[in-house]
Amino acid sequence: MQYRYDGTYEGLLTVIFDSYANRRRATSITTDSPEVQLALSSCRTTTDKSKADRVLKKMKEICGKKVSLFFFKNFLSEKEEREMNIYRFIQRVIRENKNVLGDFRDPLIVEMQRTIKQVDREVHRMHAFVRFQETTDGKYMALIRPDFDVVPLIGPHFVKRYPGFEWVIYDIQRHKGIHFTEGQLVYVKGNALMKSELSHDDLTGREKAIQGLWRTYFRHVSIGERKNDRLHVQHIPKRYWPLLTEKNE
Amino acid sequence: MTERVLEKLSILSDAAKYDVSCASSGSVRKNTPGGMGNATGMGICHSYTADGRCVSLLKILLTNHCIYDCAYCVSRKSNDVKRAAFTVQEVVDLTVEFYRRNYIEGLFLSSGIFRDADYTMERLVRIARDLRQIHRFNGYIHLKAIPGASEELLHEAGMYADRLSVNLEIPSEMSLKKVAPEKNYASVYKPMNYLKESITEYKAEKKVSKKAPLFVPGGQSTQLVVGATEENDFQIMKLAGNLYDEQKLRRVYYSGYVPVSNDPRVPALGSAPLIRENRLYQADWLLRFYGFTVDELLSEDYPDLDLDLDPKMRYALRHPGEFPVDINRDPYSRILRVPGIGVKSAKKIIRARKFGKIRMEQLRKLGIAWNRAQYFLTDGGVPARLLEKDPALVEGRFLSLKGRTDQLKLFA
Ligand code: SF4
Repeated sequence: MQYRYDGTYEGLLTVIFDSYANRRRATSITTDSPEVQLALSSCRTTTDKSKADRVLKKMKEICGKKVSLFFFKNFLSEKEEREMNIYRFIQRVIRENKNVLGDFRDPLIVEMQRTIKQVDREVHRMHAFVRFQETTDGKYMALIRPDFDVVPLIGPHFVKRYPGFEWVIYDIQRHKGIHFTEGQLVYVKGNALMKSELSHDDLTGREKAIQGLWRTYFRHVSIGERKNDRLHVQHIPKRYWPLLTEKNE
Repeated sequence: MTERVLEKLSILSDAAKYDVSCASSGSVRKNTPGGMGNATGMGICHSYTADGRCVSLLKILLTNHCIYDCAYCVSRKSNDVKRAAFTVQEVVDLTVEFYRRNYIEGLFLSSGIFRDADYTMERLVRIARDLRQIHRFNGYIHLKAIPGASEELLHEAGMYADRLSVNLEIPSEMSLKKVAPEKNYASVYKPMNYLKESITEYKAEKKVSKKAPLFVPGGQSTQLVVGATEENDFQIMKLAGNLYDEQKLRRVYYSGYVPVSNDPRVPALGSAPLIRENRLYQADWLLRFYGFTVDELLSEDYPDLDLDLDPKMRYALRHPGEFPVDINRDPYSRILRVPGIGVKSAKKIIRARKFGKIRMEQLRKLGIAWNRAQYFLTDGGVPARLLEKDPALVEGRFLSLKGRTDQLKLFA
């Protein structure tokens, strides 16, 4: 049967729980959207955290702790097939009652592991491409626009690295972010605190000076004799340029 | 910060850029209370230069004034370039401000020799100390150990730095004498040996007590300039192998000589030997991660790496008897030798075959470079496609693909 859920991770796991409880296999799992709501046979599941936890617990028993990140990252990839992939993986684990995470002979697992790699690469890119800018209200603001919904994954790295001042990392496309203040990491959504753009007037004088120095440095470390645009763009695809200080004068 | 700092930064980053080591990996340093930064052991490239190199560290010279006159160096005394010198405070401030904005992983500080070795080293050490002690900076610090500096200073540098490097620069002493008459190998090996011993001691101490201080946790590295003098690849890789085995270096960097000089002691090259440099890195990679030895890759009879084929492919074609490798039976070390299979895919194969036999079709989808690997593999059933009687045929195929294969990319 066709299942629908609210688009949250717990919601998805709830659906999977229900499909087993009702013994009605899922043929599709989709999020609420106007088009899907028209589909008559689909049933909307109410998210239930305890059901979600039970699914995870069972999976961890069989596959080990790593499996929860495996699911969560696949979920954050926002790929169209993500729900059914997770569902099909769980089906196989239940059927065979063993940890199949390393079975690279199975195309489903190859695909899901590839997704993990892509999500991890995006996390790594965000660790690299975040650019904090000191704003006049005393915060350090970074705007990002990642390929996947990686905001929930990047917090710990920055907390470890920058525990000493207040900062914000904000996804301008998904309108959500993380705010580190007074030793706490807070998730924020479409908050008034956030801006999708920083204007010249938002920045401190020192900030502008440091940005100038950074651009100068960046210009000078290139070896002219070795210029290689193809390689350059391969490492920093153009879609990231607008938010990189050194790529904007 | 002022216009003056801007100008110094231009001059002193320009002068430092031919120094190749960008890597900030290999050191783990945790944040301390009230401090800033950490080193995760992974290293992050925060940006890439227009020529596609990683920008990970603020890589600058403290000064490009120098009392020496090494022919291959832009900063040599006799060269007519603009000179500048940072103050200790300026370097500290730049590092902290860049780091705070997530531009960099840390600082890579080198210097021309100003007045004498100790005088220069003393300033490098002071910068590292201020960063660690005043700013409680826990990001990455790589310092150049100046040959001839006192052991006390080297030791202090080791207490603050994640990595220290003493550069050999020229791959043989004979050539070194020609291009850098004031230098000799002894003056480079002396600090290298001192650091090697201290690192070993501190490591042993760390094993006994967790509280023992860090001493150059990222180890030592060195750089070899390639193409400025006449050594062949066999000589260079022999030296590198020795530096890894005997001197316990963590990295050897190869720098294709960029003709910065019209000094008659070095060749007037048209352009930097980029492909050769890349091949040396590939060979180096094979030594460190793939279990190859220098003598397997090169010999008196084959003294140079092939510019047209990567060294792993070259090795496989020269040793057809060692193939095909059976992906279902052969050990990890043999699977690693297959061209087109990297460390990650080799590990995947080992994991996957525990679930049952891997068939060729499944292998193709596993993320290996099939176009290269196919000739050297079997799954036990399907015979290998290695054109065993005639490796030249396979070779011919790859040479004709040359234009398409990505020559400047290190294999996975
Ligand atoms: S001592 Fe170092 S900085 Fe001075 S000329 Fe020689 S290589 Fe260049």
